[in-house]
Amino acid sequence: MNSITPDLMAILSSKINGISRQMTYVLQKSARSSIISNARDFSTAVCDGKGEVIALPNGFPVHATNMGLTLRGVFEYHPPSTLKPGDAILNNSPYHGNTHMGDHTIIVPVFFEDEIMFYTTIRAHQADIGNSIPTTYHGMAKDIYEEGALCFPGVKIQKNYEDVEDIIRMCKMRIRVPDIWYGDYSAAVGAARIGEKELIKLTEKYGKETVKIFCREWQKYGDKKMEEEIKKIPSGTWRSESKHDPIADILPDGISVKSTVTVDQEQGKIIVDFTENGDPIKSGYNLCEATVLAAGRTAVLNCLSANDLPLCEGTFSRIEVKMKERGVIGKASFPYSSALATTSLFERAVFAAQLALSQAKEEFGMAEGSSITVPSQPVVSGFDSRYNRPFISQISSGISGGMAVFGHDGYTTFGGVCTGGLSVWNPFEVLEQKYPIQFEMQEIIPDSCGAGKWDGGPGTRIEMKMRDDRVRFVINCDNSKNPARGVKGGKNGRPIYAYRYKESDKENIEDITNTFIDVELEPKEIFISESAAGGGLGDPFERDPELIRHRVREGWLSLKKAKEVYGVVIDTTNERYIVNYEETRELRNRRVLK
Amino acid sequence: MGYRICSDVGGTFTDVVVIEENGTTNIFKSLTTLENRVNGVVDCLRLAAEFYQKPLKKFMAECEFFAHGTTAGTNALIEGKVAKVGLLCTKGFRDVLLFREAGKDHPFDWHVDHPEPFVPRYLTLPVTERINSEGQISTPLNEDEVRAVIKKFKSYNVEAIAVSLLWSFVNPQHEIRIGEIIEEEWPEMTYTLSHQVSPRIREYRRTISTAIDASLKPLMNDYISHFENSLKEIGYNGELSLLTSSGGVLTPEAMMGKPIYSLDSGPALAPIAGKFYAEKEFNKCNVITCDMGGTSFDMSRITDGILTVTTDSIIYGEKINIPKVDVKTIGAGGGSIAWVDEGGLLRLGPEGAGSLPGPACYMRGGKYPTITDANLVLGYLDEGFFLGGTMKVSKRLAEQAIFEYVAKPLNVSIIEAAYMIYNSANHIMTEAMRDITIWEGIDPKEYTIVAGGGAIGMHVASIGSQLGCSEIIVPKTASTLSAFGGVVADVISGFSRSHVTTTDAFNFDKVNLILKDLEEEARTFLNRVGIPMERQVLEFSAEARYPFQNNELTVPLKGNVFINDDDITKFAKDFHNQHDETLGSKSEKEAIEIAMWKVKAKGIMPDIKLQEQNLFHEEPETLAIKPSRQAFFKECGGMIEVPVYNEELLRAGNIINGPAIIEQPTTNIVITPDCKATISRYGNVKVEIKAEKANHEAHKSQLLANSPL
Repeated sequence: MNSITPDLMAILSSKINGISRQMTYVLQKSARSSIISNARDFSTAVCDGKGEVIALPNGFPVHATNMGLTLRGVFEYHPPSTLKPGDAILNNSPYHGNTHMGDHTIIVPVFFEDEIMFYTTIRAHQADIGNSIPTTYHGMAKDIYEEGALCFPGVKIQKNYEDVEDIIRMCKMRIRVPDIWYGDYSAAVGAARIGEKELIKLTEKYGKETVKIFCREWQKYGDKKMEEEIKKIPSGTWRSESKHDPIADILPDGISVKSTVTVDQEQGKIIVDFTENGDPIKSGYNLCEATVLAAGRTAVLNCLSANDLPLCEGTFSRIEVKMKERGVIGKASFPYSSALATTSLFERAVFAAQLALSQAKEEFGMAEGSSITVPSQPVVSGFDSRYNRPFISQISSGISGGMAVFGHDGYTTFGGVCTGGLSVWNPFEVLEQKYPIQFEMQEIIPDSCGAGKWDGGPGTRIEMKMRDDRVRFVINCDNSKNPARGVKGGKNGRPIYAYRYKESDKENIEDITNTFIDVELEPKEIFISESAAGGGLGDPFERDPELIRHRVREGWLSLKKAKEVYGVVIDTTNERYIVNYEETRELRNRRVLK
Repeated sequence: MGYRICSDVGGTFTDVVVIEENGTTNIFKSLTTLENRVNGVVDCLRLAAEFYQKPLKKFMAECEFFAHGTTAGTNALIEGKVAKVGLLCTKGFRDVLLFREAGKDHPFDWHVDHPEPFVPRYLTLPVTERINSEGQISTPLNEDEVRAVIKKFKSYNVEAIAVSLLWSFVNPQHEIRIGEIIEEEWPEMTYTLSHQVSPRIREYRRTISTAIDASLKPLMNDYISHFENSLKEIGYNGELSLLTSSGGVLTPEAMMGKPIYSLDSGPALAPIAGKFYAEKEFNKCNVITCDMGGTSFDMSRITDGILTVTTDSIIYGEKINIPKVDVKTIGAGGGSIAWVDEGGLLRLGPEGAGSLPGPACYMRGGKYPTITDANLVLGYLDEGFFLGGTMKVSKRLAEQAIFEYVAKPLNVSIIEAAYMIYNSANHIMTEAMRDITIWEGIDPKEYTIVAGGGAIGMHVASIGSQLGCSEIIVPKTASTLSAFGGVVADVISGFSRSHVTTTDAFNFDKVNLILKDLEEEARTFLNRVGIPMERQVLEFSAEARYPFQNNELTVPLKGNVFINDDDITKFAKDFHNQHDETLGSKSEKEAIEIAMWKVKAKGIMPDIKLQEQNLFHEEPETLAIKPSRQAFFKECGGMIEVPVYNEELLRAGNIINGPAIIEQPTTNIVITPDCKATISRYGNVKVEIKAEKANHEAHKSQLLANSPL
């Protein structure tokens, strides 16, 4: 027996996907920190008995496309033959297949009759990880020691369905706001266990052999579908790069991430090569194996606009990602830190590969988008005198400058390529109840979009006022010196800015824009974040005048910019808001003649 | 006691269900009149009056209860025919409706347009004011700005105003004042204040609910008053009861105040009908209802007799937060198209054939095979007796489509391909049913399925067996399940107050005061709609969470007063247990935060006695037996000759063992070999599934059959 019927294939895949989605649902409902429950900074997966991803519900690209690697990273210490029912392993080590220390990955083997049929994995970004400063992204850490997080290179945290108390105690001692951490941990293990229970039931019902055949066939199915997709792309090799802002004294000129992409139509393969990039740097900016792999895969899947491919190892394996054994865009190189491996240079790596591959076909055209690292994504911490309790969490809002793509403007609520737009913004009312901060504004910034035939998404201005307590903000940023680039005649998006001022001294606004911001704000002090806008694609003079009319009407675009950048004249007398086609034609022709 | 009537206006048909004093139930259907939906209802009532051989006026005068559910609001939203709304918001927050809460469907798909805000930005105007999270005024309302905004709305000719300010549900002072100013400046204007329509935390959900409510107001107010007048004209003297999206009832006046509560009020009633039948037939109070039509499959569940109501639903792509019966819908219906993708996997939908061109067998030019085509090829539907013989179909065209688009690419026979389509459809629906049960920690084995809709009968036995359910009811009123729900529904309305407190610093005085207020509010409502004290039931509950958690669980309260720490300990225990059962973890040492206090006011309907028939013997009479035909039953080895019965001629007590097919004018019921069907005393078809084992065996044989060995 070596095959199963197509309908049973569909049935089992939908059941296993359903179980993975169920884990997502449970974690989101029961987690404590805003970053998991509200911003949904987590991903779940079901892996087959070999440890390869078989089902990913919609997860963050940076988390999900590499889950098998994180799982297999623990086999060195816990070979499958030594695992027992009731075990749970915690892996957060970028040196052992995880993404960065901030993501705790829980791995649970699923046994049936003494055999591991599946693994359930849950990766969730923590509110705190015991770093030397209150952030889960210590960009300035020159090595793992300065970063300071507790590192778990595949550590058994549950045996026989019970916590290993020694490990829990270590975490509770070192991690800020330990109850929140333990609540999130329990929620993650709870979700993994619910997945385990359901997968056992499934195996019981359909039998071990059927399930194994299914896993094999499903990987083959993904492989086949991806091959078909790649065969639609012409063969060739393209190169591009994407530049990140200066990193303090370490890289005062910034850093350019380079990528070369090769499509082999005949073999149905794509090779994304990052080996041209340099050595590791003394900061938290280094990527690691999991995130370089995710960068290459994400770039290709974005170009393919993949919304109907099975998200499993079979599909991913047709994208080969090449990287250095030690390198800034390579495997993590102990003791260098990979604290920021899921954002910053990860995003630049995705953009570089994306820009390279987008040259293969007009339909793949894509500009650069905003980084997720904007000033309105701070890790906030302090003590809330309203409830007499300490707090720490990352806030998620205002990441809006989507990249323009062929046929569409950049997505407004972009969320960054690392989240695939899945990150959710915190409702202000919920944040204000939880933390002593009052929001004064969240609106798009007019005239911020990178202009193009298709525009980039707008930037967003957010103002936060401290209530009666001091609050520390720790933030990493990009897009100040290197805004999201426009391509094929499209313009760059507006860069980021950050300011602070005291309510009592409104004239005195201090510009604190920087790649790394660590400030403590006083009561009644106001923090302003202006996030980056996305780059445009194609010549703005080719943009549909009716779209421009609409944007002017909606207050996204000034009459001046409409005229000067897009060559479109809008008649607003008596609030008519109609395109003056005659003047528009004249204006647009005049430039052509020049 | 006279007639109880419910009308349900759907997209295609208007249904009327009449229950007589003795429990006899009759259903009537007429075409929905889209230009003026009330006419369709009157047409249908005329049919009913004719049936009872009475003049319309006399018939209506004898009606003691008239309930109405409608999709008018939902349709107007989908078709973009709602009023032009001006939205007044807190300064700095013009883009709440643009940003929503962010998020998108597919992580790798960027070739999509970000949806435009429900109210355009130029019609969303801010005023200076601010209330903080504790309800204190941190910036007073600038009334001059309010007046200027209203003037601007006038110049833009808006047709309704929505007002949604931050934290208004904690302190509504500013919204109330804005309401007063609107009445001074523009007395004839209709408006909605967010704290009245949706007093809940999360600014986007409250604002969108408010904006949608305002957009429906002019239209629904016309509709409701027109409906009331038309009923009066044809002789109805009682109060019109309007059904709500949460399966409750509102007075016309209350509904005009918050018409968003009318959205999807039709589908909300199917579970009530389901509950009624499950109690009557099996004396069960755990029910899953499913309703399968041409394009969609709707599901909902009832646990311990309680309807699942959510404040977390999506309408028109927007997340609203008004209470709604948790009806889950997937796009699987008789018209869903089957196809094979590039990787060689059989897929169903999301493309559907609709009614035009329709399934291939309809002979209207449909090229692609649908679930209905598979049912026809498998012999579950009869080519010569489609829709009771009222419609001509072609089995040959169905076979041709299945051959071309499924059998050929998969390299299997037409029959095998048809069965694969059928089997996949059953599994897709089963999976969706699992979502609303197992995900929520519920074991479907403890539930009775009540089936509705024209396409359900051919699939429900298989779905039930896969879910592990043992009892299914296909009621006589299956094709008008929602309207039937309307006549047996209790009068229900919910009230709530937001107040945050914790179990370790519990604010007894404030909470007890709130609960007392809620009781008063609930009693006032029930008294106004004429529910006598002995039929009034109040159910209190609270929404609670662990510290910093984002989502609350609704925990029932034993009463409406907290006297001492003991009461709190008991409440906490209920919360911990519920958290553990549904979310797989608990943390008993921690204090719990309680954010919302709620009461459900119920007026229990008097018991309705359905007309009972005497039981006949088990063997159906020969009159009811139609010529047997070939149909596909995998468990029996493939195409076999099966008996066919005419449901209209079957009598109470008759038992039919599977494999068999029972034909009704509007649907066919496939009785699988592991099932036994009984015609009940009330004329419904009860299907009992003998064992789950049969299904497991089926999979094994399927595997073996396809093994190359």
